[in-house]
Amino acid sequence: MNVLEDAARSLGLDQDEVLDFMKDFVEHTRGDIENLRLGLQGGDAAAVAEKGHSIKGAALNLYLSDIASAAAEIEKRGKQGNLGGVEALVTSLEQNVNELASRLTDQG
Amino acid sequence: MESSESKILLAEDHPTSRKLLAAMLKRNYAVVAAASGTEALELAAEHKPDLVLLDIMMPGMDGFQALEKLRADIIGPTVPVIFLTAREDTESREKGLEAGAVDYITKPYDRQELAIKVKNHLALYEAQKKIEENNRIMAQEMEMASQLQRSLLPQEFPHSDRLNFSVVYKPSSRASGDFYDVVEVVPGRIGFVQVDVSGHGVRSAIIGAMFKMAFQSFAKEQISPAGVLAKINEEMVDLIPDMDFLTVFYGIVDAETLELTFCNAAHPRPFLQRNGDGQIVELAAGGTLIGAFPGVPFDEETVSLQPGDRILLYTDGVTESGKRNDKSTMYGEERLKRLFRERRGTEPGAVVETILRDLESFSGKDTFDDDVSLMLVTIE
Repeated sequence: MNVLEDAARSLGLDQDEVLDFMKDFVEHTRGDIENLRLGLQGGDAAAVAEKGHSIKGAALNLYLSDIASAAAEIEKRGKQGNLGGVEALVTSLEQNVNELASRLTDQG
Repeated sequence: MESSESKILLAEDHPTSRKLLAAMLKRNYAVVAAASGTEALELAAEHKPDLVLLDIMMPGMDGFQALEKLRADIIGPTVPVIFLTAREDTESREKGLEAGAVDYITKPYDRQELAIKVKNHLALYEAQKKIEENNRIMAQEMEMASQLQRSLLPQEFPHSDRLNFSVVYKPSSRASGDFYDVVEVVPGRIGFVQVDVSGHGVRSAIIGAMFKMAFQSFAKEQISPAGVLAKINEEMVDLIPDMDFLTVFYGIVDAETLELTFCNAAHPRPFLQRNGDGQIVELAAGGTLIGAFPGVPFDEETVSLQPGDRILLYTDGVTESGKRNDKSTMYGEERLKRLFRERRGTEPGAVVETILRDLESFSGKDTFDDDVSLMLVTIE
Protein backbone atom coordinates (compact mmCIF):
# COMPACT_ATOMS: atom_id res chain seq x y z
CA MET A 1 0.00 0.00 0.00
CA ASN A 2 2.02 2.88 -1.33
CA VAL A 3 -0.09 5.57 0.30
CA LEU A 4 0.83 4.18 3.71
CA GLU A 5 4.54 4.08 2.90
CA ASP A 6 4.50 7.58 1.40
CA ALA A 7 2.61 9.05 4.33
CA ALA A 8 4.85 7.32 6.88
CA ARG A 9 7.97 8.66 5.16
CA SER A 10 6.67 12.22 4.88
CA LEU A 11 5.38 12.28 8.42
CA GLY A 12 8.44 10.61 9.92
CA LEU A 13 6.30 7.97 11.66
CA ASP A 14 6.19 4.17 11.60
CA GLN A 15 3.81 2.61 9.12
CA ASP A 16 1.97 0.92 11.99
CA GLU A 17 1.36 4.30 13.58
CA VAL A 18 0.11 5.76 10.33
CA LEU A 19 -2.13 2.75 9.81
CA ASP A 20 -3.71 3.42 13.20
CA PHE A 21 -4.19 7.08 12.33
CA MET A 22 -5.86 6.16 9.05
CA LYS A 23 -8.23 3.77 10.82
CA ASP A 24 -8.98 6.53 13.28
CA PHE A 25 -9.62 8.86 10.37
CA VAL A 26 -12.03 6.41 8.71
CA GLU A 27 -14.00 6.04 11.91
CA HIS A 28 -14.33 9.77 12.46
CA THR A 29 -15.02 10.54 8.82
CA ARG A 30 -17.94 8.14 8.74
CA GLY A 31 -19.45 10.17 11.55
CA ASP A 32 -18.62 13.38 9.70
CA ILE A 33 -20.35 12.10 6.57
CA GLU A 34 -23.49 11.48 8.62
CA ASN A 35 -23.27 15.07 9.84
CA LEU A 36 -22.71 16.29 6.29
CA ARG A 37 -25.93 14.63 5.23
CA LEU A 38 -27.76 16.18 8.14
CA GLY A 39 -26.42 19.57 7.10
CA LEU A 40 -27.58 18.99 3.54
CA GLN A 41 -31.04 17.96 4.69
CA GLY A 42 -31.26 21.13 6.76
CA GLY A 43 -29.89 23.30 3.95
CA ASP A 44 -27.11 24.46 6.32
CA ALA A 45 -24.41 25.50 3.83
CA ALA A 46 -22.09 26.81 6.56
CA ALA A 47 -22.17 23.49 8.41
CA VAL A 48 -21.50 21.66 5.14
CA ALA A 49 -18.50 23.91 4.42
CA GLU A 50 -17.14 23.50 7.93
CA LYS A 51 -17.39 19.73 7.87
CA GLY A 52 -15.91 19.58 4.37
CA HIS A 53 -13.00 21.70 5.57
CA SER A 54 -12.40 19.48 8.59
CA ILE A 55 -12.36 16.26 6.52
CA LYS A 56 -10.14 17.92 3.92
CA GLY A 57 -7.55 18.96 6.51
CA ALA A 58 -7.34 15.54 8.13
CA ALA A 59 -7.17 13.79 4.76
CA LEU A 60 -4.40 16.12 3.61
CA ASN A 61 -2.44 15.38 6.76
CA LEU A 62 -2.57 11.67 5.95
CA TYR A 63 -1.71 12.27 2.29
CA LEU A 64 -5.11 10.91 1.20
CA SER A 65 -5.42 13.12 -1.85
CA ASP A 66 -8.62 11.64 -3.38
CA ILE A 67 -10.56 12.10 -0.17
CA ALA A 68 -9.04 15.57 0.37
CA SER A 69 -10.09 16.65 -3.15
CA ALA A 70 -13.68 15.46 -2.68
CA ALA A 71 -13.90 17.17 0.71
CA ALA A 72 -12.40 20.38 -0.73
CA GLU A 73 -15.11 20.50 -3.40
CA ILE A 74 -17.79 20.02 -0.74
CA GLU A 75 -16.24 22.81 1.33
CA LYS A 76 -16.13 25.10 -1.71
CA ARG A 77 -19.80 24.49 -2.56
CA GLY A 78 -20.78 25.04 1.06
CA LYS A 79 -18.90 28.34 1.17
CA GLN A 80 -20.62 29.42 -2.04
CA GLY A 81 -23.99 28.50 -0.56
CA ASN A 82 -24.54 26.23 -3.51
CA LEU A 83 -25.57 22.83 -2.21
CA GLY A 84 -26.74 21.47 -5.58
CA GLY A 85 -24.82 18.33 -6.45
CA VAL A 86 -23.24 18.10 -3.03
CA GLU A 87 -25.18 14.92 -2.19
CA ALA A 88 -23.43 13.18 -5.10
CA LEU A 89 -20.07 14.51 -3.87
CA VAL A 90 -20.78 13.17 -0.39
CA THR A 91 -21.64 9.76 -1.88
CA SER A 92 -18.39 9.81 -3.83
CA LEU A 93 -16.51 10.80 -0.68
CA GLU A 94 -18.14 7.96 1.20
CA GLN A 95 -17.08 5.49 -1.49
CA ASN A 96 -13.49 6.72 -1.23
CA VAL A 97 -13.55 6.31 2.53
CA ASN A 98 -15.01 2.79 2.21
CA GLU A 99 -12.33 1.84 -0.28
CA LEU A 100 -9.68 3.11 2.10
CA ALA A 101 -11.27 1.17 4.93
CA SER A 102 -11.10 -2.03 2.85
CA ARG A 103 -7.45 -1.49 2.03
CA LEU A 104 -6.66 -0.80 5.68
CA THR A 105 -8.42 -4.02 6.66
CA ASP A 106 -6.25 -5.90 4.20
CA GLN A 107 -3.21 -4.33 5.86
CA GLY A 108 -4.33 -5.70 9.20
CA MET B 1 16.77 24.47 22.31
CA GLU B 2 15.30 21.26 20.99
CA SER B 3 14.46 19.02 23.88
CA SER B 4 11.55 17.60 25.77
CA GLU B 5 11.98 20.51 28.21
CA SER B 6 10.20 22.71 25.68
CA LYS B 7 6.46 22.50 25.94
CA ILE B 8 4.24 22.77 22.90
CA LEU B 9 0.53 23.42 22.92
CA LEU B 10 -1.30 22.37 19.79
CA ALA B 11 -4.90 23.23 19.05
CA GLU B 12 -6.61 21.24 16.30
CA ASP B 13 -10.26 20.29 16.24
CA HIS B 14 -10.02 17.16 14.11
CA PRO B 15 -9.18 14.24 16.42
CA THR B 16 -7.03 12.34 13.90
CA SER B 17 -5.04 15.40 12.88
CA ARG B 18 -4.56 16.32 16.53
CA LYS B 19 -3.23 12.89 17.44
CA LEU B 20 -1.08 12.76 14.31
CA LEU B 21 0.58 16.09 15.00
CA ALA B 22 1.13 15.19 18.65
CA ALA B 23 2.80 11.95 17.57
CA MET B 24 5.13 13.87 15.24
CA LEU B 25 6.17 16.24 18.01
CA LYS B 26 6.27 14.16 21.15
CA ARG B 27 9.60 12.51 20.36
CA ASN B 28 11.35 15.82 21.00
CA TYR B 29 8.93 17.88 23.03
CA ALA B 30 6.35 17.77 25.77
CA VAL B 31 3.01 18.16 23.97
CA VAL B 32 -0.39 19.20 25.27
CA ALA B 33 -3.27 19.02 22.79
CA ALA B 34 -6.49 21.03 22.72
CA ALA B 35 -9.57 20.19 20.64
CA SER B 36 -10.85 23.78 20.43
CA GLY B 37 -9.83 27.39 20.81
CA THR B 38 -11.48 27.55 24.22
CA GLU B 39 -9.62 24.48 25.45
CA ALA B 40 -6.39 25.95 24.06
CA LEU B 41 -6.81 28.98 26.33
CA GLU B 42 -7.39 26.75 29.35
CA LEU B 43 -4.39 24.53 28.61
CA ALA B 44 -2.15 27.51 27.86
CA ALA B 45 -2.98 29.03 31.24
CA GLU B 46 -2.30 25.71 32.93
CA HIS B 47 0.85 24.59 31.11
CA LYS B 48 2.56 27.84 30.05
CA PRO B 49 3.73 26.58 26.65
CA ASP B 50 6.96 27.63 24.94
CA LEU B 51 5.32 27.43 21.52
CA VAL B 52 1.74 27.17 20.23
CA LEU B 53 0.54 25.44 17.07
CA LEU B 54 -2.90 26.75 16.24
CA ASP B 55 -5.35 25.54 13.64
CA ILE B 56 -7.14 28.45 12.03
CA MET B 57 -10.54 26.99 11.30
CA MET B 58 -12.04 25.48 14.40
CA PRO B 59 -15.71 25.44 15.41
CA GLY B 60 -16.63 28.04 18.04
CA MET B 61 -13.56 30.13 18.77
CA ASP B 62 -11.39 30.09 15.67
CA GLY B 63 -7.62 30.39 15.54
CA PHE B 64 -7.61 34.17 15.11
CA GLN B 65 -9.82 34.74 18.14
CA ALA B 66 -7.80 32.25 20.18
CA LEU B 67 -4.54 33.97 19.19
CA GLU B 68 -5.86 37.37 20.26
CA LYS B 69 -6.92 36.08 23.67
CA LEU B 70 -3.74 34.06 24.12
CA ARG B 71 -1.57 37.08 23.42
CA ALA B 72 -3.64 39.49 25.49
CA ASP B 73 -4.27 37.38 28.57
CA ILE B 74 -2.09 34.30 28.75
CA ILE B 75 1.15 33.89 26.81
CA GLY B 76 2.08 37.51 26.17
CA PRO B 77 3.72 38.89 23.07
CA THR B 78 6.81 36.70 22.80
CA VAL B 79 5.73 33.03 22.88
CA PRO B 80 5.80 31.93 19.24
CA VAL B 81 2.48 30.96 17.70
CA ILE B 82 2.47 29.04 14.43
CA PHE B 83 -0.72 28.69 12.44
CA LEU B 84 -1.74 25.41 10.83
CA THR B 85 -3.31 26.10 7.47
CA ALA B 86 -4.22 24.57 4.15
CA ARG B 87 -1.65 25.24 1.45
CA GLU B 88 -4.06 27.16 -0.78
CA ASP B 89 -5.38 29.34 2.02
CA THR B 90 -3.06 32.31 1.44
CA GLU B 91 -5.56 34.82 2.80
CA SER B 92 -5.67 33.16 6.23
CA ARG B 93 -1.91 32.85 6.31
CA GLU B 94 -1.45 36.58 5.73
CA LYS B 95 -4.16 37.44 8.22
CA GLY B 96 -2.54 35.16 10.79
CA LEU B 97 0.88 36.72 10.38
CA GLU B 98 -0.63 40.18 10.70
CA ALA B 99 -2.45 39.08 13.85
CA GLY B 100 0.81 38.11 15.53
CA ALA B 101 1.60 34.56 14.47
CA VAL B 102 5.30 34.11 13.75
CA ASP B 103 4.89 31.52 11.02
CA TYR B 104 2.58 28.96 9.46
CA ILE B 105 2.77 25.29 8.59
CA THR B 106 0.74 24.00 5.70
CA LYS B 107 -1.23 20.78 5.49
CA PRO B 108 -0.26 18.07 4.78
CA TYR B 109 2.37 18.28 7.48
CA ASP B 110 5.88 17.59 6.35
CA ARG B 111 8.17 16.12 8.96
CA GLN B 112 11.14 18.29 8.02
CA GLU B 113 9.22 21.52 7.67
CA LEU B 114 7.54 20.94 11.02
CA ALA B 115 10.78 19.99 12.76
CA ILE B 116 12.78 22.94 11.38
CA LYS B 117 10.14 25.58 12.00
CA VAL B 118 9.40 24.40 15.52
CA LYS B 119 13.10 24.11 16.36
CA ASN B 120 13.97 27.54 14.94
CA HIS B 121 11.13 29.38 16.62
CA LEU B 122 11.85 27.71 19.94
CA ALA B 123 15.52 28.70 19.61
CA LEU B 124 14.52 32.29 18.87
CA TYR B 125 12.16 32.30 21.82
CA GLU B 126 14.83 30.92 24.13
CA ALA B 127 17.28 33.58 22.91
CA GLN B 128 14.67 36.26 23.48
CA LYS B 129 13.99 34.96 26.98
CA LYS B 130 17.70 35.06 27.75
CA ILE B 131 17.93 38.65 26.51
CA GLU B 132 14.92 39.61 28.63
CA GLU B 133 16.44 37.90 31.65
CA ASN B 134 19.77 39.64 31.09
CA ASN B 135 17.97 42.96 30.72
CA ARG B 136 16.11 42.30 33.94
CA ILE B 137 19.35 41.52 35.77
CA MET B 138 21.01 44.60 34.29
CA ALA B 139 18.10 46.79 35.36
CA GLN B 140 18.31 45.29 38.83
CA GLU B 141 22.04 45.94 39.00
CA MET B 142 21.57 49.49 37.74
CA GLU B 143 19.00 50.06 40.45
CA MET B 144 21.43 48.69 43.03
CA ALA B 145 24.12 50.98 41.64
CA SER B 146 21.74 53.93 41.86
CA GLN B 147 20.94 53.06 45.46
CA LEU B 148 24.65 52.76 46.22
CA GLN B 149 25.27 56.09 44.54
CA ARG B 150 22.50 57.78 46.53
CA SER B 151 23.92 56.29 49.73
CA LEU B 152 27.23 58.09 49.07
CA LEU B 153 25.59 61.49 49.34
CA PRO B 154 25.50 63.20 52.73
CA GLN B 155 22.15 63.51 54.47
CA GLU B 156 23.21 66.77 56.10
CA PHE B 157 26.23 69.05 56.26
CA PRO B 158 28.20 69.83 59.41
CA HIS B 159 27.11 73.13 60.90
CA SER B 160 29.34 76.14 60.46
CA ASP B 161 28.63 79.81 61.14
CA ARG B 162 31.16 80.83 58.51
CA LEU B 163 30.38 78.51 55.62
CA ASN B 164 27.20 77.90 53.69
CA PHE B 165 26.85 75.01 51.22
CA SER B 166 24.22 74.93 48.47
CA VAL B 167 24.05 71.90 46.22
CA VAL B 168 22.08 70.68 43.26
CA TYR B 169 22.63 67.15 42.07
CA LYS B 170 20.90 65.50 39.13
CA PRO B 171 21.97 61.91 38.64
CA SER B 172 21.91 60.76 35.03
CA SER B 173 19.54 58.05 33.84
CA ARG B 174 22.51 55.69 34.12
CA ALA B 175 23.95 55.15 37.57
CA SER B 176 27.46 56.36 38.27
CA GLY B 177 29.77 56.93 41.21
CA ASP B 178 29.78 60.72 41.27
CA PHE B 179 29.22 62.31 44.64
CA TYR B 180 30.02 65.20 46.93
CA ASP B 181 30.61 65.43 50.62
CA VAL B 182 31.21 67.96 53.37
CA VAL B 183 33.02 66.89 56.52
CA GLU B 184 34.40 68.53 59.63
CA VAL B 185 37.99 67.34 59.30
CA VAL B 186 38.97 68.59 62.73
CA PRO B 187 37.05 71.06 64.87
CA GLY B 188 36.99 74.38 63.05
CA ARG B 189 38.14 73.03 59.69
CA ILE B 190 35.51 72.11 57.16
CA GLY B 191 36.44 69.97 54.17
CA PHE B 192 34.38 69.74 51.02
CA VAL B 193 34.91 67.36 48.15
CA GLN B 194 33.37 66.84 44.73
CA VAL B 195 34.11 63.62 42.84
CA ASP B 196 33.45 62.56 39.27
CA VAL B 197 34.00 58.85 38.52
CA SER B 198 34.69 57.81 34.92
CA GLY B 199 32.06 55.67 33.26
CA HIS B 200 28.66 54.60 34.50
CA GLY B 201 26.91 51.65 36.05
CA VAL B 202 27.71 49.27 38.85
CA ARG B 203 31.47 49.48 38.42
CA SER B 204 31.50 53.27 38.74
CA ALA B 205 29.21 53.15 41.74
CA ILE B 206 31.56 50.70 43.46
CA ILE B 207 34.57 52.90 42.64
CA GLY B 208 32.73 55.89 44.07
CA ALA B 209 31.98 53.92 47.24
CA MET B 210 35.64 52.86 47.50
CA PHE B 211 36.74 56.48 47.24
CA LYS B 212 34.26 57.59 49.86
CA MET B 213 35.46 54.94 52.33
CA ALA B 214 39.07 55.90 51.74
CA PHE B 215 38.26 59.59 51.97
CA GLN B 216 36.40 59.28 55.24
CA SER B 217 39.31 57.35 56.68
CA PHE B 218 42.20 59.51 55.42
CA ALA B 219 40.49 62.89 55.78
CA LYS B 220 40.51 62.46 59.55
CA GLU B 221 44.20 61.54 59.59
CA GLN B 222 45.63 64.72 58.10
CA ILE B 223 44.52 68.19 57.11
CA SER B 224 46.45 68.39 53.86
CA PRO B 225 44.16 67.93 50.83
CA ALA B 226 47.12 66.99 48.64
CA GLY B 227 48.30 64.46 51.21
CA VAL B 228 44.87 62.90 51.46
CA LEU B 229 44.44 62.63 47.71
CA ALA B 230 47.95 61.22 47.28
CA LYS B 231 47.20 58.49 49.81
CA ILE B 232 43.85 57.72 48.21
CA ASN B 233 45.53 57.59 44.80
CA GLU B 234 48.04 55.01 46.03
CA GLU B 235 45.24 52.94 47.51
CA MET B 236 43.02 53.07 44.47
CA VAL B 237 45.53 52.74 41.69
CA ASP B 238 45.97 49.06 42.51
CA LEU B 239 42.30 48.39 43.06
CA ILE B 240 40.45 49.87 40.14
CA PRO B 241 40.69 48.71 36.51
CA ASP B 242 43.18 50.45 34.23
CA MET B 243 40.64 52.38 32.24
CA ASP B 244 38.86 53.82 35.28
CA PHE B 245 39.76 56.97 37.17
CA LEU B 246 38.30 59.80 39.20
CA THR B 247 38.58 63.55 39.12
CA VAL B 248 38.42 65.17 42.54
CA PHE B 249 38.39 68.62 44.05
CA TYR B 250 39.08 68.68 47.76
CA GLY B 251 39.24 71.87 49.77
CA ILE B 252 39.51 72.60 53.48
CA VAL B 253 38.50 75.95 54.97
CA ASP B 254 39.73 77.08 58.34
CA ALA B 255 36.60 78.68 59.75
CA GLU B 256 38.69 80.92 61.99
CA THR B 257 41.26 82.32 59.53
CA LEU B 258 39.12 81.76 56.42
CA GLU B 259 42.06 80.21 54.63
CA LEU B 260 41.21 77.72 51.92
CA THR B 261 43.68 74.98 51.16
CA PHE B 262 42.77 72.90 48.16
CA CYS B 263 43.96 70.20 45.79
CA ASN B 264 42.45 69.79 42.37
CA ALA B 265 43.01 66.31 40.89
CA ALA B 266 42.11 66.92 37.23
CA HIS B 267 38.63 68.12 38.21
CA PRO B 268 36.94 71.01 36.37
CA ARG B 269 38.42 74.14 37.93
CA PRO B 270 36.05 75.65 40.50
CA PHE B 271 35.33 79.38 40.22
CA LEU B 272 36.30 81.50 43.23
CA GLN B 273 34.36 84.74 43.03
CA ARG B 274 35.74 87.55 45.15
CA ASN B 275 33.23 89.61 47.03
CA GLY B 276 35.00 92.91 46.52
CA ASP B 277 35.56 93.32 42.80
CA GLY B 278 33.62 90.26 41.66
CA GLN B 279 36.72 88.88 39.97
CA ILE B 280 36.63 85.16 39.28
CA VAL B 281 39.70 83.03 39.93
CA GLU B 282 39.96 79.39 38.83
CA LEU B 283 41.24 76.95 41.43
CA ALA B 284 43.66 74.80 39.44
CA ALA B 285 46.52 73.64 41.65
CA GLY B 286 46.66 69.94 42.35
CA GLY B 287 47.58 67.02 40.18
CA THR B 288 46.41 64.41 37.81
CA LEU B 289 43.59 61.86 37.81
CA ILE B 290 43.04 59.73 40.89
CA GLY B 291 43.52 56.00 40.39
CA ALA B 292 45.31 56.25 37.06
CA PHE B 293 49.02 56.53 37.87
CA PRO B 294 51.01 55.34 40.90
CA GLY B 295 53.43 57.60 42.73
CA VAL B 296 52.41 60.88 41.12
CA PRO B 297 52.73 64.06 43.21
CA PHE B 298 49.77 66.17 44.24
CA ASP B 299 50.16 69.84 45.04
CA GLU B 300 47.99 72.11 47.07
CA GLU B 301 47.52 75.84 47.30
CA THR B 302 46.24 78.09 50.01
CA VAL B 303 44.20 81.22 49.36
CA SER B 304 42.69 83.68 51.81
CA LEU B 305 38.95 84.09 51.64
CA GLN B 306 36.82 87.02 52.69
CA PRO B 307 33.22 87.12 53.82
CA GLY B 308 31.02 87.19 50.75
CA ASP B 309 33.44 85.15 48.61
CA ARG B 310 31.86 82.27 46.77
CA ILE B 311 33.29 79.09 45.29
CA LEU B 312 31.35 77.26 42.60
CA LEU B 313 32.27 73.58 42.08
CA TYR B 314 30.85 71.72 39.11
CA THR B 315 31.30 68.44 37.28
CA ASP B 316 31.84 68.08 33.55
CA GLY B 317 28.24 66.87 33.30
CA VAL B 318 27.41 70.60 33.46
CA THR B 319 29.86 72.06 30.99
CA GLU B 320 29.76 69.14 28.53
CA SER B 321 25.98 68.99 28.22
CA GLY B 322 25.02 69.24 24.57
CA LYS B 323 22.72 71.89 23.18
CA ARG B 324 19.19 70.99 22.20
CA ASN B 325 19.20 69.81 18.57
CA ASP B 326 22.96 70.43 18.34
CA LYS B 327 24.87 68.01 20.55
CA SER B 328 28.23 69.22 19.28
CA THR B 329 27.71 72.59 20.96
CA MET B 330 28.36 72.25 24.67
CA TYR B 331 27.16 74.36 27.58
CA GLY B 332 30.76 75.28 28.32
CA GLU B 333 32.70 76.98 31.07
CA GLU B 334 32.23 80.50 29.71
CA ARG B 335 28.45 80.34 29.83
CA LEU B 336 28.64 78.91 33.34
CA LYS B 337 31.08 81.58 34.44
CA ARG B 338 28.99 84.37 32.90
CA LEU B 339 25.82 83.21 34.61
CA PHE B 340 27.67 82.81 37.92
CA ARG B 341 28.98 86.35 37.58
CA GLU B 342 25.53 87.74 36.73
CA ARG B 343 24.02 86.11 39.82
CA ARG B 344 26.59 87.65 42.14
CA GLY B 345 24.08 89.22 44.49
CA THR B 346 21.67 86.33 44.42
CA GLU B 347 20.93 84.14 47.44
CA PRO B 348 23.20 81.02 47.28
CA GLY B 349 20.47 78.40 46.90
CA ALA B 350 18.94 80.36 44.03
CA VAL B 351 22.30 80.59 42.24
CA VAL B 352 22.71 76.82 41.75
CA GLU B 353 19.01 76.42 40.94
CA THR B 354 19.28 79.16 38.32
CA ILE B 355 22.28 77.47 36.73
CA LEU B 356 20.41 74.14 36.65
CA ARG B 357 17.36 75.75 35.00
CA ASP B 358 19.61 77.44 32.45
CA LEU B 359 21.29 74.11 31.73
CA GLU B 360 17.91 72.40 31.28
CA SER B 361 16.82 75.17 28.96
CA PHE B 362 20.07 74.93 26.98
CA SER B 363 19.93 71.15 26.58
CA GLY B 364 16.16 70.95 26.20
CA LYS B 365 15.77 68.23 28.81
CA ASP B 366 15.64 67.75 32.55
CA THR B 367 17.52 64.47 32.69
CA PHE B 368 21.09 64.31 31.48
CA ASP B 369 23.45 61.78 29.95
CA ASP B 370 25.97 62.46 32.70
CA ASP B 371 25.55 63.39 36.34
CA VAL B 372 25.11 67.09 36.90
CA SER B 373 26.52 68.28 40.20
CA LEU B 374 26.92 71.88 41.42
CA MET B 375 28.15 72.97 44.82
CA LEU B 376 28.30 76.59 45.93
CA VAL B 377 30.38 77.38 49.00
CA THR B 378 29.66 80.81 50.42
CA ILE B 379 31.75 82.50 53.07
CA GLU B 380 29.31 84.11 55.53
